[in-house]
Amino acid sequence: MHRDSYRPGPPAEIAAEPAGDRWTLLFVRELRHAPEKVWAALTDPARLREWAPFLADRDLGAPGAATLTLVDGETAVAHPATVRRAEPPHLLEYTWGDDLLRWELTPSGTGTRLLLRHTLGERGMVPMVAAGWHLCLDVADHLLAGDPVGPIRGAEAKDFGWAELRDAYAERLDGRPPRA
Amino acid sequence: MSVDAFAVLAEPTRRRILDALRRSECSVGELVDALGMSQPAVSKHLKVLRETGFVTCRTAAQHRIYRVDPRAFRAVDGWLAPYREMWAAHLDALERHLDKE
Repeated sequence: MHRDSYRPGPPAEIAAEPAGDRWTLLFVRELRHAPEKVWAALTDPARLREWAPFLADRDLGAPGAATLTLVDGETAVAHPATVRRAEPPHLLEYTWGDDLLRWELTPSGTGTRLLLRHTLGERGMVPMVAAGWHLCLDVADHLLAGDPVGPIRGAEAKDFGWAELRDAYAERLDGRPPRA
Repeated sequence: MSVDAFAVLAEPTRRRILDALRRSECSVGELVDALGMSQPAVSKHLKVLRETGFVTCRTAAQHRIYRVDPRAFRAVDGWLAPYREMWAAHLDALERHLDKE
């Protein structure tokens, strides 16, 4: 698909759960591809760079330290990460700076039901983070289908409906428009 | 004063964030809207600014609201003080020169 024709799909199923003094975003996404294929997209640096918000310095499919570099236009900031659990093709868990990301893959028909749990500092961030992952996972789905639109990361997300998604997710979580 | 403070301020994005916070305290979402930057980038830079004492935050209705903490800037200002005196000394010299004219 040509990049300019890409439009975000409808909002996914999400929830926000307290996690001690922090919050966890739960984000569910059905992908049209088998768990093995999704696993490779989640762990292989060459695939990650085509859809993820960060670049990985190594394959994330094995426990231990890694560096995940956040890319935003011309700037790139490296953040330490630790892969805590890697059980292909079902469970991947790693820290990224202060955040914790846990990916659970379940076969669903011929595809995969992906559950992302992203633990972060403040409740108010949840809709923004959900909007970011929505765009990333849309891009990943296109990539896996052999119909890439190219990575959408950093401030560029705003050109592809990030703010509208953020507002839609805030409304889903809180049952009201975010700036009412 | 530690070298770290200059490393923190050397990053242009962080200076843009500080410029915005100098005008008024902001949440992450407000900075994202105002600066045309991505949320992950704003969050990561705010973390650095918070850990090095340039900003503090308070929590209000689910959001963290960030503001500039002048204490870290006083350290930078203190480091600059002898250089300002150097400048003042040159001005004194100029004045003495003009007195003789």
